[in-house]
Amino acid sequence: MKPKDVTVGQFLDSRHALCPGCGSAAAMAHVLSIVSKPLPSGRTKKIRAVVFPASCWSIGSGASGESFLGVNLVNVPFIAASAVAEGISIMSEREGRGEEELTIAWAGDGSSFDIGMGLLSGAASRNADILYVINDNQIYGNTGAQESGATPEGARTTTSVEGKEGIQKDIVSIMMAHSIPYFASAVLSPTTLTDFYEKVATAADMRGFRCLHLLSVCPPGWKCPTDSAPELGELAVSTRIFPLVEIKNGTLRLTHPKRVKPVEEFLKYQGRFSYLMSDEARLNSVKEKIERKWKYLSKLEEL
Amino acid sequence: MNGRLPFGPMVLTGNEAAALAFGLANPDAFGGYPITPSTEVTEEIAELALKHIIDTTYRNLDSELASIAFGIGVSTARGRYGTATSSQGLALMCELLHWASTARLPIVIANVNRSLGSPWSIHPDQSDSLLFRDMFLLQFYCKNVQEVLDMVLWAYRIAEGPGVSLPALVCFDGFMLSHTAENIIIPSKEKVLEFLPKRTPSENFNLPQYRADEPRNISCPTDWMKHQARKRSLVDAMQTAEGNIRHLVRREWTQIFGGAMQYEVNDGFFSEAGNSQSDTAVISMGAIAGTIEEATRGEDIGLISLRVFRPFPAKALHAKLVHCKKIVVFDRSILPSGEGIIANELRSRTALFPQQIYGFVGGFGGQNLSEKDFLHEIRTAMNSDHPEANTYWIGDKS
Ligand SMILES: Cc1ncc(C[n+]2csc(CCOP(=O)(O)OP(=O)(O)O)c2C)c(N)n1
Ligand code: SF4
Repeated sequence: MKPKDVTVGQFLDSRHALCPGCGSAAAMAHVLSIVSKPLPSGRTKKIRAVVFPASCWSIGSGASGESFLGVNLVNVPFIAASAVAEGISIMSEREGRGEEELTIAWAGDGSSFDIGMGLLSGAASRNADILYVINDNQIYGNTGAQESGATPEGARTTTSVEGKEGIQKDIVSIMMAHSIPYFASAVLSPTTLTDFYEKVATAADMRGFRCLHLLSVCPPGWKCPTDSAPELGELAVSTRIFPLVEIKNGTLRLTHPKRVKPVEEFLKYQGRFSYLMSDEARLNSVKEKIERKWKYLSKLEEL
Repeated sequence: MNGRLPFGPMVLTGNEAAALAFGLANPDAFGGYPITPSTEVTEEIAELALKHIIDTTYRNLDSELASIAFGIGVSTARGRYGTATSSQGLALMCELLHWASTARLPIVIANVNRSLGSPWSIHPDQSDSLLFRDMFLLQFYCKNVQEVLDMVLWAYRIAEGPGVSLPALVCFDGFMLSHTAENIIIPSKEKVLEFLPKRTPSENFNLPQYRADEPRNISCPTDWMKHQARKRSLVDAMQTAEGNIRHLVRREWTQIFGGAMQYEVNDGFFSEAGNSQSDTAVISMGAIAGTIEEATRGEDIGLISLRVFRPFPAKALHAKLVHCKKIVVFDRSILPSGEGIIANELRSRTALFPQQIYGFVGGFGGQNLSEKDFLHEIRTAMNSDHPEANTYWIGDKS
């Protein structure tokens, strides 16, 4: 599936309560448009429900029973999205509509990397028939940009005012260790559009536990301009800060940027990295880790 | 069990009876997670499902939190869900259990009563399920193994009822019932289906059958008026449940199952023994009721064993106790106020229960309450005129 095959549909009512320039708002409209069209197998799926744990989307996606996304939404506690989605998909299966219905969990990084990781691990290990989207803005967005397990080292948050000290959890390895049918990381940006569309369509088309890890630019949290989502998405990939991987049947594929850019190109647009940018030793250590991670993934690609 | 579910007379433990009851209720899905003393319920269902004796989708989950989350999904998508747990497991579910209740999902949980730590104890008391006394959960308590089977069926029927749509706990004492075998009668699958047909989900709270034109947004924020109305409707649901239990016992249950399994007395809310005309009534809940009955055989005392704790059957109890001068309560739970929970329920309704209420608590950490203890405590209460605020700790010699 190519981007030109899909017209982005009216999946996001203008009354949505997400911030101006929110990367995940655009990603949602694209994802729902892609999965509502005939998929690579020729099959078309119906969205049974999108399950939201507590996140920006709990308040952004509707009010008083009305869905601003044009599909059924089920709001659930912060920890619970994966297993709730599994329960919904079990009912599709039992009612003979497992092939045609799709249940999506759309969960933030706080929900996925941290509080809900145990339940996520359980649903993945049971190969629950759901599409689990990690909508990763690298912070607890809804509560005002606190540090999460996905926050990169050195990034400033309201609970790590001089930049995060600890590590960023390696979600690729964690999900890979669960031997799920499909895992892909993707970014919505002009140069990665085809990659994004293909991965979303592939994931939606399959059965079993599929996980999409989306990097979503968050202007208030990242302290960047509200029109920077496309460019920052692109830079996250070309600086190798956010490697685009796809793991299918245990085989890892890495999308190699045409031209690799220096890490600083990504960091310098964002106020959250101001401390890191002014501390050379720390910056070098972060850069080294990014480099090592890339090498590690490249080795895995060779297997 | 080979091929199909047994029926007719059988000797079963409480856990086996609970598993069989779930088998008969045939939930769409059952989530399993082990904890003493409820583990056998889970093991039995896993086996029944594996052998296709029931067509329930069984899943080994990774915690009780996962189990209740999974149940929220199944139930929101219009399915019937069941699980079994005890103490720490039930407590772990707290956030999601409250969500299930306020999202009006009629999930049934068999809770085998076990003390809630610290310290560790696998012995029974009611501190686990009664921790949830302030939640909108139906709570049934069983006196014997037959009631374990029957209450699981009641629980689904009442929980799923129109106007109720709330989760339910079916509580029975660890070891005293979970691991004790008794003679019971198992109803046939056909009769159970007549009593408990496939769930008709409440359209207000569940995912509709797929429709592209009318998407729903379940449990999203609303304005305060709608939110407040939702809160108030929980109270209505509890009251509806009370009426439905009365109706259910008087009509369907008796009509369908007839003679052997009757609960008509006191509309099913509690059972009674001893002399119901006596000035003194003794109230308890759970398996200790049997011991109290033995202890007081031949004494001039009325005995009441609560079967339904939520909704609290205040009206039915008032009608039964109105002529009594003294009410003795045996609780296996304790509140920060220093009272047992059933005693507190009665004392909070002075208009209905103006009598002197003698509160006893005990049975914690494996304390073996003997018939002699009970008789001694009851006689002491009958002969004394102590202030009702006092709570007496059974076996406390100080
Ligand atoms: C058990 C529990 N703890 C804390 C919260 C408060 N809370 C609501 S949303 C949120 C942050 C969500 O962060 P993330 O998952 O990254 O999603 P985002 O808001 O960034 O989209 C937190 C901490 C909660 N709702 N429930
Ligand atoms: S805080 Fe960030 S992720 Fe949340 S709505 Fe605003 S821009 Fe989007």
